[in-house]
Amino acid sequence: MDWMANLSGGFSTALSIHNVLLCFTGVLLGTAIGVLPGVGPLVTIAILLPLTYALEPTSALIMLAGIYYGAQYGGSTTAILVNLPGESGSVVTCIDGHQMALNGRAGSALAIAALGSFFAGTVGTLMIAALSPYLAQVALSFGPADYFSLMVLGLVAAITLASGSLLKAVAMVLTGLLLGVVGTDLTTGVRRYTFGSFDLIDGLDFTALAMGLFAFGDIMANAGARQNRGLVQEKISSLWPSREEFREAWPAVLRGTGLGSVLGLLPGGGATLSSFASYSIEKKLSKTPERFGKGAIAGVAAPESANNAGAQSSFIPMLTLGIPSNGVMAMMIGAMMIHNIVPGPEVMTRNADLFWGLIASMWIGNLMLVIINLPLIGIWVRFLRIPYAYLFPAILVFSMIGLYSIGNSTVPILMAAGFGVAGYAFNRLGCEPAPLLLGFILGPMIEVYMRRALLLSRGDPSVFLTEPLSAVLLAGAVILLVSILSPAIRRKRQEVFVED
Amino acid sequence: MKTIDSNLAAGLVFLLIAAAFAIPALGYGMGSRLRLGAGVFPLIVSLLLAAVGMALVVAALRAREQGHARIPVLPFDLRAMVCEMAALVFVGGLGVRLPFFRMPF
Repeated sequence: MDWMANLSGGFSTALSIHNVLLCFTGVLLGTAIGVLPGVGPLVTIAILLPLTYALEPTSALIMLAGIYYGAQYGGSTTAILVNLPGESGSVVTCIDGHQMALNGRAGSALAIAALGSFFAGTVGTLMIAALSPYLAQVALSFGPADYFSLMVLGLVAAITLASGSLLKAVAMVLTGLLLGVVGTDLTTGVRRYTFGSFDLIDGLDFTALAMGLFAFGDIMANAGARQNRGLVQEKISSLWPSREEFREAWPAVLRGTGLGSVLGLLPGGGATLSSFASYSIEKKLSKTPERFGKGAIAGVAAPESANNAGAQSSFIPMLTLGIPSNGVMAMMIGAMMIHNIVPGPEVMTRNADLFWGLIASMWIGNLMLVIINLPLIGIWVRFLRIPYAYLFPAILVFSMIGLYSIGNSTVPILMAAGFGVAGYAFNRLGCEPAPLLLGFILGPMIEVYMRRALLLSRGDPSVFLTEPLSAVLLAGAVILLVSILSPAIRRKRQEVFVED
Repeated sequence: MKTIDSNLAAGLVFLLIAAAFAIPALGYGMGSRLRLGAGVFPLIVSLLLAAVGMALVVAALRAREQGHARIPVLPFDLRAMVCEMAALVFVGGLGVRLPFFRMPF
């Protein structure tokens, strides 16, 4: 089998001392920041992104992946111990996980979450290794029109599966597309929306945008919030779940992994959708559904595995097609582009080392999560008690150093300050910032493919409908958009996202 | 206290953003169908954004007519906002002149 050989090649890249250390650092830092109450994976990655700029691309991505897994795991720790979800993906974990913690079983909940995530991560990694080459093969035959339609479909799907108001999500994507236009147009050389400023010639800085919207905006939103409502005060005694708990949890882990791996492939899917869906399935399948919401271990095991499996398999469309299916993947693409790697089917052939090294490091990262984090849980709990009054200034200082280090210039700091205010305003208006990031990443690419398609068709705009694949993809986008706007489905969608 | 409908406010904000991008786009050149100019893509997108903004405004006004419950705009925490901005702008404006602010990497 070809991919087996490739994967072992990847392991030899990922297992170099340098990369293992970086992966370790990434997981550790990711957990440390991700465990902080109210700080989700997107914020964590935004804050830590500049750390990876000085590294060579493969190591940078390996470290970023480590940060991501650490952040996600840290988020579940917070969900279980404080009942405060750092991101939408761990909302479900709060329900039963926190109940378990209140019943004195915090240790088991944390261990099951970690072991379930590890299992899901292993399956997800194998799936990426096996599926990606085929998908990349298919993607190589795509023409510009097909790519254009694929990206449109990706954006539409990302909107429909996001939580919150649909119209606002659409508007945020479009705003992101517009922000992506700022800077010199590479085709015509026209400077767009720079207003004579030299700092905008290369476009808006991705790190400044991400940090401003997510980290700075969030800080403002949380500054007045009350902290640590219901942090479990007892000491965590035993980390090892009992035999009964194991027996109850493992089928849930299997189902969660299966569901998450499939849902993660969908654009807009990934962690959030997977965890919600698997929780409601467990509840339906369970012989004792009344125990859900009161500390059922399956209610922790299933969404946590699904969450991780979904997070893992959402790397597949990102790596092979260059389509981010959620905010975190948009962040990954942004990081890759900073290292001059354009995600897409060519990555696998042109940067084979990077591709397989990254995949191997995903598994290593997942393994590290289990080995490092379970013994260190006492330290993470202490992190949870840091008051906002110290936490926020520290994040702010750290972020400013990161922004400054991008090009030894203070311009990104000022840019991020502006995006911080914008992010806060959007937050107050009930608009989620993640779709904006997707639009910002895809905007320039959509424009390029649109132009290229028209050039190849000699200026005939019907090319998007006469190319069969493109037509199918666009039709899919339209059907999705129309169906989601129909009242019946809209009601159903609200039910899915409002659990109990 | 008087509350502002969040759909209405968001719709107006998006209309404003659309206008801010559409008007300069007109000056960037439309090119031909074969070679699209720099203004085409931003113009199309900002027109779409304007349409969505209008939809939000219309939905908000219709909901008001029918007396549905409205989701108000969340209150702004001005103190947090001003403090954070002051910190960022201070470093952004002065940072270059501070000797210890040179990064080792």
